[in-house]
Amino acid sequence: METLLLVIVVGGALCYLGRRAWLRLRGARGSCCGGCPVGRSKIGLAARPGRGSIEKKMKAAAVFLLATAIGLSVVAAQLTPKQRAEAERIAALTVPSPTEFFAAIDKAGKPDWMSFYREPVPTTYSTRPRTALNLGALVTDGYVAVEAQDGQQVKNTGKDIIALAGALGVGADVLVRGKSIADFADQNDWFALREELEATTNEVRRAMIAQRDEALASLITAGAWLRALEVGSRAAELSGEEKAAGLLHQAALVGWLRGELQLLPEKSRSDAAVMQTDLTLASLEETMQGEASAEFGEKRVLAVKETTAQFIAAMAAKEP
Amino acid sequence: MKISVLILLAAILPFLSAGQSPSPEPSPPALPLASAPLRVRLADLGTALSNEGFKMRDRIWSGRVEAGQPQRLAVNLFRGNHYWFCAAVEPTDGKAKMTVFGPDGRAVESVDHQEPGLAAAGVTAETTGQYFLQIETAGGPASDFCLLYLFK
Repeated sequence: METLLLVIVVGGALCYLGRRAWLRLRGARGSCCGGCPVGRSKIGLAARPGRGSIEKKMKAAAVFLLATAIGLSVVAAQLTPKQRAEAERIAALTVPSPTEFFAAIDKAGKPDWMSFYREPVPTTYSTRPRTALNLGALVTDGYVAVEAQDGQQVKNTGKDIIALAGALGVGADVLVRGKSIADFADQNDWFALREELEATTNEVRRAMIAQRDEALASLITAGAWLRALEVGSRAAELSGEEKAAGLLHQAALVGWLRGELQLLPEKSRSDAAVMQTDLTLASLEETMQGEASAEFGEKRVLAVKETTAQFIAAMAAKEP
Repeated sequence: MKISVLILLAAILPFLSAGQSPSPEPSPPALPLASAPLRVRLADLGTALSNEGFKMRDRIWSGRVEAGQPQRLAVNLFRGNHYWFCAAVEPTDGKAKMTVFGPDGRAVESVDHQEPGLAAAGVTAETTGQYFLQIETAGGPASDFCLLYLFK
């Protein structure tokens, strides 16, 4: 597109300049080349009675070309779809922290964060993927408790996070973090708690990757976001604010989370929890499609809420 | 004569702007390297913003950037939140520029901060979606960089 515009601008400019030079040459002193006996009336534009209007047209053309060029310079300051597609994506920064999402929800309308608490969930599951998904969801519960400024709830959630990390074999890596979470909760240091929760998640993810278990690292992130979307959609439903609903426009993020699951080895992808996660993300991606500026209506808010709530409840359910 | 000047300007402007535009080449993968002094300088800037109530993300992005080959990172931002993206480059007197592009790929309005070896851009997200950070250097040899992300 940029190249096409460039060709149009440069080509147009050269044509105009060439034509102008030719007309001058032909039209000098009222003849085609100054020497031929061709009358003024038979030669180019310069000799015609409508010369004024032609000049105006030329000026308009010049203004148009200049405006096109300026427009092009703006276009050049734009990323192409290819450049956007090829931008680096790293889980620790490309995926926002749930607390960023909650900060935006808080600005859109102060929700009652305690109303988003869940019943305590089991801390043992039969499979590692389910454990990882629930660990991610629990981290988001920790952020909810921080938003509610509920120290005891943060400590309880912190203990469960450490228990699930232990079940995944990385408890020792985050034991110190668990102690810090409890200390910051005692001190009501909500600012530090948000950072500590993110650091804990990253520690667990890093330990998983070090064990060459990228599948579990991806599931932790997916679990955290699916629970965050459940909370966010419930908050949007309760507030009824368009601003809050608009925060659910996360098709790119959901698409990326799904893409991460697609990269997993076949064996991991065939796990029931992974397949269920993929189906849930696919459904959400479809619901969230559309322009970012388009309204995210009530129907879509409810669809996000139902999809995520069902998934989180199914993953956390006690196993027979 | 005036028209000729206008036309010539129109023809040259795209070439001038093309020199400053993002490279059409894909961003090479960032190297997970950043020297300790680089990270310390970045952390100093981050701490100053933390004192303004901004929360710092737990991880930094680091790599190597060459003149004319900007590095880009996709991030997902939320409408209404305020963000700062800070980058430190080596050498310490190097010139760097940070640009933030919106979900549609257009550069978004930002508060820019530049000093030798450091560049930062502050934005308020107008829409929820995927944004793109671009770090580039003015010239000279390839530079190591690291980037920090803060929000409020």
